Amino acid sequence: MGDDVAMIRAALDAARAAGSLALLRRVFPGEPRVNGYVLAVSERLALVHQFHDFLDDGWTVLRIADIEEVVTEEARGFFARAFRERGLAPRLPPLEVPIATMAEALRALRREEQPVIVECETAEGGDADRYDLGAVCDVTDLHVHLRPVDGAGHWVPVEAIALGRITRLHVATPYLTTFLRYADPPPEMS
Amino acid sequence: MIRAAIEDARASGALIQLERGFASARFVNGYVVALGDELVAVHQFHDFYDEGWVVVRIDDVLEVNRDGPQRHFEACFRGEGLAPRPLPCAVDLASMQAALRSLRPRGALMFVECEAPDADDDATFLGRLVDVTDLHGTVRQLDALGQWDPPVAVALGRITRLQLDTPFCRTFAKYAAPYPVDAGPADGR
Repeated sequence: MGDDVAMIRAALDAARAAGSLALLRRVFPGEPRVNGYVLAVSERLALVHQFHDFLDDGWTVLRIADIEEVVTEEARGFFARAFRERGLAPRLPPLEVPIATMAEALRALRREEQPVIVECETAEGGDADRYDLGAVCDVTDLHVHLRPVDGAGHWVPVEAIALGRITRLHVATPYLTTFLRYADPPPEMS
Repeated sequence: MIRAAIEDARASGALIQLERGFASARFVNGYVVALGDELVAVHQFHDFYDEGWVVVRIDDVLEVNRDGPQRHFEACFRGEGLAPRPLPCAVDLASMQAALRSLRPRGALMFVECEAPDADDDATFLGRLVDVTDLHGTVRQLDALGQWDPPVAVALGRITRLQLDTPFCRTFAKYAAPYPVDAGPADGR
């Protein structure tokens, strides 16, 4: 399994170095495919400028161990051409997102007061997955303390999410930005 | 009750979420724009992206949600100017066969999907309708490289979803190979 992760990491790094459009196949049935440009790779995480079909969907931080395959070759050539001709080039996020660990990434978001979507995906998918949109209040060695916004746009009490359960972060996505634009004003974060 | 809820959503122009039993596309979010005997057409959205129109079978709808989250989304949609749009063409929603027959003359690229509870068993065809019989819809489909494959006959009873005029279809069509003149033999499936 360690060799598999090393191979995936190498493939991600190759995609990053070449600036190639990559399709990442993951183990989670909820969202098994992530399409985009790999911007950074660490020992455990990858930062991807992601797309939904041909739409810029912001940035995501993924665990390398959850990725089963990295596809960058001929099958992507058609998509790579469409992306190029539509000017869909890789972009860096609006803030620096360190990806040595999930904790580091979340601490950076807290410092910059950048809201985030935190996902805890599972092999079962569906209702077993956890999805929280909100503001990072604190990050300890084991948890992130997140002030979530519920589906109706109301801020709810802070919740602790175990860092080890987090499979994915979404940063500066159009969904996040638009959802919060119409939510309640943010409370004072403690 | 499901049918009544869908009709109510259509009449009120409310933003709704249809829940179905298919793992790959459990939820359809958007505005109900038309309703027939067996099918419902929704102007659909992915997050806040206009995703064109989807036609699904009413019998596959498990729930029609219009609670708190949908009301917040209505505010988002209003603020972003995302209003419902009618179907881009006449679609007969009496049955899947009727829908395909009404769409065939259009010749547009569309998704014809056979969904299953387990997403691994899904079959998706992106292409143009070339024939509709009592039992099958025949699709000339595009492969992942944008090249045209021979036509495939898809059993009408297996088809659960159609997607029309999605941004993906429109963009894919722009970069795909030109549509071939020869139709080729159908491959029964």
